[in-house]
Amino acid sequence: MENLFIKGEPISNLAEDHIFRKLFEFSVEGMIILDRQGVILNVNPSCLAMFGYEKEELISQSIEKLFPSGYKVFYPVDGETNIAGKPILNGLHSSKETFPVSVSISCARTEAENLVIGFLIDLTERIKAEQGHAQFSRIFDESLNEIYILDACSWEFLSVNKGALLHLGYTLEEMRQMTIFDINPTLSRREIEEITYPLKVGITDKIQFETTRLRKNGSTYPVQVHIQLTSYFSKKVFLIIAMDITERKNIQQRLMSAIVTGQEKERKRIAKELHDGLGQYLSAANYNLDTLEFQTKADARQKKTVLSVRRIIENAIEELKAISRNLHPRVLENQGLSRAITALCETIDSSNNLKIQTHIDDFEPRLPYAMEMGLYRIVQELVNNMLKHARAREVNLQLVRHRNSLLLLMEDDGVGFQTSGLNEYKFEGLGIRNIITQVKALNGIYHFDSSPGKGTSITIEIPFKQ
Amino acid sequence: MNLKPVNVFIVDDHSLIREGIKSSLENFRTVTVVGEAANGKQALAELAKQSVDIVLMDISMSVMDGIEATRKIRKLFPDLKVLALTMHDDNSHILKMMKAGALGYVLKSENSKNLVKAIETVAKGQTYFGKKVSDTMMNHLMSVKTKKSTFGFSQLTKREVEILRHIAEGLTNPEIAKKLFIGHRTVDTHRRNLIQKLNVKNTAGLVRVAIKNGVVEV
Repeated sequence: MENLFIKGEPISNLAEDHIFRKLFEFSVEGMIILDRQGVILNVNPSCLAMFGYEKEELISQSIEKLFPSGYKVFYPVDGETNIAGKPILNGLHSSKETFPVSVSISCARTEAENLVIGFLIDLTERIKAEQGHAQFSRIFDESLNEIYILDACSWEFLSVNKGALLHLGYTLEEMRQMTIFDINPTLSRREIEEITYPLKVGITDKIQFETTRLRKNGSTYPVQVHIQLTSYFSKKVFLIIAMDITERKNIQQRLMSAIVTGQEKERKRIAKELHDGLGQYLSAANYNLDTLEFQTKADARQKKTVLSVRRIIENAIEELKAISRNLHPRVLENQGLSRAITALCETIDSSNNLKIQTHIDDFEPRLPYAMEMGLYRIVQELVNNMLKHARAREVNLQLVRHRNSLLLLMEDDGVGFQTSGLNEYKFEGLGIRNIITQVKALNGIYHFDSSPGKGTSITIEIPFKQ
Repeated sequence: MNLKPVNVFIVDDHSLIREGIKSSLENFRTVTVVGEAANGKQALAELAKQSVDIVLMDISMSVMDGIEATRKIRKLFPDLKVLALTMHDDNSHILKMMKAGALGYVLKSENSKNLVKAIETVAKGQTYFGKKVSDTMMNHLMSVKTKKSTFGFSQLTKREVEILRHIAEGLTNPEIAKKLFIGHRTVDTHRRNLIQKLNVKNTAGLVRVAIKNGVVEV
């Protein structure tokens, strides 16, 4: 449209008058025609709508009614007939509110006189949008949460915010050379692909889980991660928002360890009461039975009864001792973890049709008591679960000390179960929840690895430095 | 057999137990119960007043437990013999009582015939352990012994040997995982454990062990 007005040429030479009138009438751009003195000769409907006036209110008025400081722009002093670029002026709306308007000016010469034509675009919305965008991108950038945008195919980082750079210790340039795998020490490429698969095929919109981040300096910290699949400059990208949950984890760990400690205290109390209380009464009954046995020497039938009562009492005592041992394993307190786990496996070995192979490192000096107890409980639960569900014939149990951790591994050749990519245990029975509580109380991580018919492997790693 | 019956003193915080023991021992002429106490402290006071051959000593008691009482008795009355009579069947209690100076250790689940046998044996100045007690002690001694043995290739499980072979063949964790139908994390755990257990530094060390033991051919 602007090429209708080559500067300085008379309108009549450029186009038919009626074409101009049509354009003037229907253009979405505001158009205003002024004489050389700044008096409004004509305005188009878009312009009226922009400023909120009727045509009669503007005709013969000064341009300053619409642009209080616009005279200089419309009539530059040095006589230039056109202004380079498109200046933005403050327009004055009939409501007395000002708003940004982009103005471009042309001069046209008709037979009668020289005219100034202004083309006006209301910038309110655009500026708002731009400000909003800037605001948003500032929030994005300055968020203390980590925000990553990465290519959904190559896994390379396209953009990351300051929060992520700050937490990880990399520069943006460094990050752009990296992939998600470089900052995810605990998940393999295959696992990440498995986890994000439902997003790629559209089964779900958002995935969240906890994982670990690896800093440039080699240290790690736990994060809660949200992943979405979206597009960014027409590319399929993953939008990842990650939150540092170190503090939450610490609180969780303290909470878990408080729960576990309380539980153990209560168990110990009950075990003691059973053993030293109830057990004593049973023993006393047994002694009285001895006396009775002497007194009933002659009568064979009475003797038989005494014998069966004695057997009942003895069974009760054995049972009570087993319960008490289970509640509070004295062997653990007295002889330490290795011996206690071995003893536990021995009792199962002998009573079930099951071969348990153990390799339990010796811990000398002994581990902290809470850790011994936690690991013992974990093994106890693992073994119980395995006995209940796995239908295994062979079990391999290992507890091996590494430089910075203890690694507990239990493998069986039982029926197994389906694990999901997120490593959630499908049948979250009480036993499993107990295991998870214990592992969290010791600040450890667990991993269940199983599939139907292929047995189960469970790895538990507890951080520990001598 | 002794003509004079053995004078027995019972220390137990449960009066029911004391009564039970007393009445069951009444059937034996070789033993006479001459006194009783509910805890160690009371026992020490009573024992100073009368002539006793053997103290049947419980362990868990509130005021002064059996271990401390035994220690004190051995110091104050060196001729007095102590026989532990308790519910506790773990080696730690057994060891503590023996260290404190008890000559014998009998569980309350034993019948009175065995108890009398224990009393008679200890009265002669010999030691006596019930069958279960000596089993526990044996087990303890055995476990202490086996502790010292070092770990070697021969103690690896079937699966570990399999994994070691695949490692030596140069397979990666995911490849081994696929072959054995297990998760690669489990393979990784095995690899780390193998390095630790076989006391080598790295995968190269594992390969050496594998070759040395003929797991793979060179």
